Amino acid sequence: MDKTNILLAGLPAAGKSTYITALWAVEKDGKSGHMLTCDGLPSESSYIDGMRDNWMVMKEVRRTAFAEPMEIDLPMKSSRTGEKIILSLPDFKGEIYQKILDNSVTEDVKEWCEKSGGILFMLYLGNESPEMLQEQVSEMTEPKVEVEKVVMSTNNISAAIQNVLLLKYLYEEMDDVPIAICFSSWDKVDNSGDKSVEEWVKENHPCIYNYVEEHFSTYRFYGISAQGADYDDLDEEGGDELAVKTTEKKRAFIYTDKVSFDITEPIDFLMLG
Amino acid sequence: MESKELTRAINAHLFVPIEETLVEQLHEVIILLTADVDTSMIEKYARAFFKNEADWSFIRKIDQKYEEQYGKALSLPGIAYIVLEVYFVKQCILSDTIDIGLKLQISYIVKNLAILRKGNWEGVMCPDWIIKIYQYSDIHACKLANSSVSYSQIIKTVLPCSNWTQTGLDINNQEIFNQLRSLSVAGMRGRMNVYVESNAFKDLNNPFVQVYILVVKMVKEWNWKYISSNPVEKIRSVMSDDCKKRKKLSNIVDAIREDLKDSDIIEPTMKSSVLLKKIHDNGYCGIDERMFSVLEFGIYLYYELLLETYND
Amino acid sequence: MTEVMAGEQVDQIMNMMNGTQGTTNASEAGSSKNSGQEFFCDAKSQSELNEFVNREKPKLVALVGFADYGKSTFIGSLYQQLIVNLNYGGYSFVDSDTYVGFERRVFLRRINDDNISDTKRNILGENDILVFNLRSVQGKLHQIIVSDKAGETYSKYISSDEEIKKDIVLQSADLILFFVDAELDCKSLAEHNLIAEKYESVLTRLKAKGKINEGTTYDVVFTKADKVNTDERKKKLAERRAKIEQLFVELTGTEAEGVYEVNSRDLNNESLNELFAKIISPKQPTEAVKELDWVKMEIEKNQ
Repeated sequence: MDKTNILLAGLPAAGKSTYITALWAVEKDGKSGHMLTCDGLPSESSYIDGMRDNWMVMKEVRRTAFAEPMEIDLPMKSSRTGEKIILSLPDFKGEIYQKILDNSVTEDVKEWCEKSGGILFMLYLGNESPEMLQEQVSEMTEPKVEVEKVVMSTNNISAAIQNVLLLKYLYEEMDDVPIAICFSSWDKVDNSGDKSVEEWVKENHPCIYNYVEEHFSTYRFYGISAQGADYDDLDEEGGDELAVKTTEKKRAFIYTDKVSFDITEPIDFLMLG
Repeated sequence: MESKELTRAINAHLFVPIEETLVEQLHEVIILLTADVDTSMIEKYARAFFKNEADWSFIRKIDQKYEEQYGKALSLPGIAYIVLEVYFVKQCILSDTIDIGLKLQISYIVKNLAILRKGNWEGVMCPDWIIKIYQYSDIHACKLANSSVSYSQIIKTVLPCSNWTQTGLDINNQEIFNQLRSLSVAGMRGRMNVYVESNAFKDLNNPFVQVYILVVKMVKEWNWKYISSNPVEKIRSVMSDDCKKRKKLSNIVDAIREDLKDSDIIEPTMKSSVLLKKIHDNGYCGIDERMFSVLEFGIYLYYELLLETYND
Repeated sequence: MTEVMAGEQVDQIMNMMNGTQGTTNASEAGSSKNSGQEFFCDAKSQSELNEFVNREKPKLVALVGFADYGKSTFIGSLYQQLIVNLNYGGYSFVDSDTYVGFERRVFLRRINDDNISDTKRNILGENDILVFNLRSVQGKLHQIIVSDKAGETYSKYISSDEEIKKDIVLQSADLILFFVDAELDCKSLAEHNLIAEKYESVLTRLKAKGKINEGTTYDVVFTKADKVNTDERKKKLAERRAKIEQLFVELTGTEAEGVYEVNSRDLNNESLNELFAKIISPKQPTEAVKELDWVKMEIEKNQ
């Protein structure tokens, strides 16, 4: 069976592991009717089963602790074409991607960049907006940091630009491959007016939009909520509601210009365009 | 001296100048490469420099030759290769070892490919060198067409006779040859005048179609290059007020292809024949939206045809 | 196992966990070729300028001014305008090989102004070359290169020809922005005279070394205009601005193309945005040489 390698990329806390977990949890039984469903069980699934258990009980998915990625191979079937493939995704620690910004790239990342035919790019920017940045510029009169402690580090780079830098590295390494850019924790995003994700990105993160639009000929923006809700806000009733949604496979969702519970859509897009 | 000119030309486009010793070496490399020049090379390079690019095969050639000569890898900014590309073509024109005929073709190729910048001449690199390249064919064209000798004497001598021996003329006599030449030119002018006055020509409604047929005949039938060093005067006198009519190239070509159908359309062999190729296969040529007057169109076409028939 | 060996093993494990073992430099991946850089896409050095010349030489803007005259805040604000707007002044900011160079300048704004030249230098880093890749609404792509050297560099130019000789930016610059701290200029006559004195020395040396000449295009930018907020100060600034302008005319042999009073922290400031628009507009292409259009020449010759 053909292996389809997709690079799952994103800075720390972007939601990579949570996405994989939700994907496994929803598609494992092969009965979702989604664009891609599991077609049997992988030979080894202890890692993703461990993460899924946390997801099921609304606990934060434990992020990978190892520098080397956990390679996740899922036997999948496309409902569009009937094709059976092994979907191969690396679960890298986010810090490995962040190290790229410090000019330090691991061989594993290089290898995955070389062999992957698409990028699933996850990012979390919360509700930071350009207007807020403008206000910060004009209000900046008081020093924010103690002089003695000042050293420029990657964390001092704005979150949006950190993501642009990572996108730039990946583009330069992988050339013009299809890319799905997924804004995680979409359930928390302020998208009043129900704009499409693309419009929302143009308005709220124009630097990311401009970079992607300029360089990638095949791209799509998504909002993703792999958790389905903020666990910190959940009371018992909320928890039960979420449990019901879990059973109905209506917990994790994506958003383009409407909500869909088929979180395999970005991967399907990367595979088939 | 020449390498100083090259130094100035390259460094004008850079922030950090490259050293003169390196430029001297590049000049030597260019001279060595001119030994193997052919028209297809020039077509590639001229097309590239008119697009402000450097052809990949040219870059490879320079890099390889440099390494061969000096034993180390060459590393130049991209723009330096574009300057070297123009310099290479200029050096071909100035070369003492390259055949005059080839130099003439080189000059025509560059002139023909200049059409790619029509209406967009700003920012062309090394314009002075390109103009020098143009001038080669201008000078040569004058040498070809210099028949100003009266032929009336030879007519009076030949017409009453029934064979050459009766004329008593010596074919090796330069004056007789010149008169014969002038007579041939007059004959061609005469044939042209007959044609342009004919209904066959006048009934063609579209002036662009007319000028197409006119220049094809000028080049292929009437050998106009021997009659006059430039075709402008003749095209202007034949097409008169229609000269100023303007159309988009795509529309011009559609009309020609429609009126003439495939049988009358020339298939070009030279890659510098941008208009001929467009007329022949109507593919996208990069200047489809540019406007041409009848006269401009005729002139560009004339020189493309001239180069096509060069080796005939 | 000795203590040293154990320590080595710990280092190995730490490196593995931090992912530094078996690493290469991100800059080798693409266009950021300076493998000595601290960050991916950091500012570049002067010696790397030719890397930006591909099919044409991009526009080069040099920011000149002494320490704390506001150069880095200024360019940081331009960068902010470009990243927070999808389209700014008709252009979209689509890429840069020096994003982190800009981010350094934005970060610097958060630092206390008192006596931290060394810290500022550490934050700004060694390199001064910053690049914007912009696409116009008509779809044309162009690059703008900005040189933002530390103010201390220009202080060295006051007294040393050797330092000036190393500069390759100024003679190639399409536009030089000379910065003056308006707040300082209005503080006292002595401060104003010192500013004038410093610029006199620098410009005299620059001209003598051929780094600027009568053809040089420049603007004078008075920064921190918001601090000139009383009538008395405004009056002083008006007088002293005129003197500074005159000084530049005398020293360069040309009039400034523009003189601006800006507050780099007010992104709605009209003067600031006007100057930003000037900086990011593409270079005018070299004028067409008419003889290149040989067909037109032939037609004109035969008229």
